[in-house]
Amino acid sequence: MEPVALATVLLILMFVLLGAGLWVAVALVALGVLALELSGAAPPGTVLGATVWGGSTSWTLIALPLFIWMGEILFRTRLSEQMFQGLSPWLTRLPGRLLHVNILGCGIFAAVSGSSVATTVTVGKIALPELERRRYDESLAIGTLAGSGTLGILIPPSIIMIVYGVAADVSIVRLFAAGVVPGLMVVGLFMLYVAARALADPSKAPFTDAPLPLRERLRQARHLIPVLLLMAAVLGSIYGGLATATEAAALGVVGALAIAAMSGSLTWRSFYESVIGATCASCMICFLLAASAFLSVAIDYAGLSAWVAGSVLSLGLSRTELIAVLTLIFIVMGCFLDGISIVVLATSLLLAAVKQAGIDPLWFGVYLVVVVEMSLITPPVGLNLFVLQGMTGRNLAVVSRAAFPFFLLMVLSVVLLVAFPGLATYLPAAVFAR
Amino acid sequence: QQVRWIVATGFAETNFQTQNVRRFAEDVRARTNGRLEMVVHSGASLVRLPDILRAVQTGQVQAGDILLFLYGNQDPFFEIDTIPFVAVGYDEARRLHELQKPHLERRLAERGVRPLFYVPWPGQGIVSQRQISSAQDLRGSRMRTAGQTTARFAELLGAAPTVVQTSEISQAFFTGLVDSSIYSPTTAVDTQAWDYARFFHNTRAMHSKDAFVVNRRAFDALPEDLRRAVLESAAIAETRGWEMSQRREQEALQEIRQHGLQVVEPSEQLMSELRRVGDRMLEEWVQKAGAEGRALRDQLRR
Amino acid sequence: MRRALDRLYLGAAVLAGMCLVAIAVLVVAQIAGRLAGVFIRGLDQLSGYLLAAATFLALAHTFATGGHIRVELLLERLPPRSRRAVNLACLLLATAVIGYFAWHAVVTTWQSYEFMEVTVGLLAVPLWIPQSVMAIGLCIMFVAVADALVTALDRRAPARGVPRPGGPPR
Ligand code: NA
Ligand code: NA
Repeated sequence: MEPVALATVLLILMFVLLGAGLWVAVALVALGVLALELSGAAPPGTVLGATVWGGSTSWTLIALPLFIWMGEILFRTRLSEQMFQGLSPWLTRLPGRLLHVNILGCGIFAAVSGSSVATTVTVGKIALPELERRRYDESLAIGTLAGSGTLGILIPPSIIMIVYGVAADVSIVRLFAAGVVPGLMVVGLFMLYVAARALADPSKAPFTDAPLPLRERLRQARHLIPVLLLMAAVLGSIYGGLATATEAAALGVVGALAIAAMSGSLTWRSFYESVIGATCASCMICFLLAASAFLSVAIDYAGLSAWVAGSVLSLGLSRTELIAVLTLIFIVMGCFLDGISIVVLATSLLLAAVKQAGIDPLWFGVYLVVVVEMSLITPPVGLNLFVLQGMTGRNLAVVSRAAFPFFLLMVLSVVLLVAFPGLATYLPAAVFAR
Repeated sequence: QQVRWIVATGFAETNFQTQNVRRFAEDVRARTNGRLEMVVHSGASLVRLPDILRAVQTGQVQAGDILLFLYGNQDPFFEIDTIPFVAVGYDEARRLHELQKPHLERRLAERGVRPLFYVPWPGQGIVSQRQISSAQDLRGSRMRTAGQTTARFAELLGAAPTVVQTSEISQAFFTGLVDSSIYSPTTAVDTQAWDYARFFHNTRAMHSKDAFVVNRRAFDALPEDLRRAVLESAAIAETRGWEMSQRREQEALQEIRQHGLQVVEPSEQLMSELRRVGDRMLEEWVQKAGAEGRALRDQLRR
Repeated sequence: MRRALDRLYLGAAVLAGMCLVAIAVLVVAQIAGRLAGVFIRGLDQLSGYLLAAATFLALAHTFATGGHIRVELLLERLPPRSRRAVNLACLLLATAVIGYFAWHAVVTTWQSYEFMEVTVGLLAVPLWIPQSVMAIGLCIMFVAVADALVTALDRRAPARGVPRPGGPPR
């Protein structure tokens, strides 16, 4: 089958299957099998077995269930209350009030976690019920979380950056450093947006907590000590040379268990529930990743990815035009594919063209991470949306709509990154200057 | 009519092994007037590097570029070229290869694949924070290892082997998780070793190899003239691959020097100590490889 | 029968949970071992296999409790009769796809056994051993999906494989 026809068939079928409510992972497997069957490029069953096995045993993925488990344990402790008690007195005067806890909480947690889903789950489990109880605007509460949760891969450590660094031969240490300033920038943009929305309509973030005097605020801040210690254990173990990011995740679990034990919430029952909960959540995500890895491989076999790349390169565009076009394509791809697939496809297909166009691969890596962040909150396939769907019980439309303004803010971040490449490249250059 | 082969490689498009495979594919196409077309998928986009042999064997792809030592757990003959300080530099590596080749050929044939050409990686050196003038300096260091043989090598040196994936090397050095590693100057360039280390000891410890293998049924199904064209192109690809490897080694050394990583020629004392470790590892290998292995060792030492 | 099946799904998920706990223990042991200067071979590789086991063994329970993601956007808006029809079609297709998937997982594992394939890395074990967990997990998943299909055909039984109201707080 010709690439154009094949792509059309697959695209239509994807909409039909996903729209009909077929389980996403099942739909991705079905589409992959069909792509291989129709193109006749390879035996689908053999590719399915091999790809799924290879994708399910990866060492880098191990951080994911561990961080989810850490969140499950913390969810069953009093840490969420403590974090709010500690953080909220400082934020009650800001327009947007406790919505900033979502953003700052994700920003801080992102500095420990390498995964956006883990960041969303961990911070969301703590923040969402608290915001709901205080009758905050639901859409803003979900949106801030969906958007800020994606910071997990922009602020180091980041699994996506490791994937890109390996695929594109870019130093991971440099990539990690390059993500810091853009990460802070995105945090700033989100906070500004929330403040603006709250100023326009104060009922979005109702006045529920009276401002406390400084001494009282400092006293309340003691509630932050456990979480800060945990952050220190995880971050410190990475940057102190004690552990890799995956190992730091395991230390995070130990730390979380210690916090649970000290707050008296660690029972056999809660331990069992946290394990089963984390196992099922991680099962869903890993199965989805395996299925999408299979689909990516299948469309690569079918020659579709090469066809797409060839079509892009034949256009002969300038640097800015190329980035604009790529951003559009990535946004469309991001609607349907997971972040790791996007990064792998983008580097294997487009990196040569990108380098030819005079684009710094280090900068491109950070750009790509922001684009992948966007893909996490665009329907119909957006892991962060799925996670929030599960957490809030709202349907995909509600969650996607809530996340949309934050998607636009990330588009703005891309524009800023294009206009000021130094946002990404200055810090690594300064740190590693000799 | 046109035959299409899907070819999987585990390394990036820019890697010289992938480039050599690409030129091989172009050469075959030219020689066969486009009757045999190889579609090369680089960077493990189709198949993960360790799974390529299996993928060629099962017909998931028709051909692929495999890293031989990965299959050392199946059979020790796959990994003899990755034992450090058994064959130092390209000349010794060539000699070892000639002895290893018939064994590889037979074992690959048993798996239903046919090797077409072999290309070595640049020789491996020791990268570290401190200068190393004797094996004693490595005692107690935290040495990054990637596989069986390098882990054992570190153990024999009295260093603490630490498993770190290639993607995590720079972070591991940066944070002090490891302070030395054995790898090729191209890996030093790829991981930008000048960011995290100060010395590269150019020991040329070993040259592990890639093999380009093809599914035997797919190969046998080709008409006689196409088969001949493939074999001719393969012979050229092997020669070119060894040259590219040597050139790449020099370029990479030049590049890391330019970035301020000090390239040190190892002292004679260090080399003789390291070769002694290599001898010991070769004896351990012979234990695993049996009578055939002993014969190979004897020929190598002749 | 009903209880036996639910026990099968939950039992596999509990095994999966044990794998997760084992991963954490192994990773912590790796750090502790390194601090003590002890090198334990292949812990990372073993953790990878345990991750696969955790994923595949938990599939059925995750499915039965509505943990797998689906887009319910349109489904929710359909009138009850067509909703039932579309849901049945989904279950039928899912049974076929997971059946195909499980079958090829079994074939992949069988081939690893037949080829006498050994794992790549510091741990050398026959590949079919860790792989068989993938095959077993997918087979149990197949049973769970077929179970949901059969249950859905019965109008009186409660729907399975559909997220609970409020969704799982996972
Ligand atoms: Na992060
Ligand atoms: Na998306």
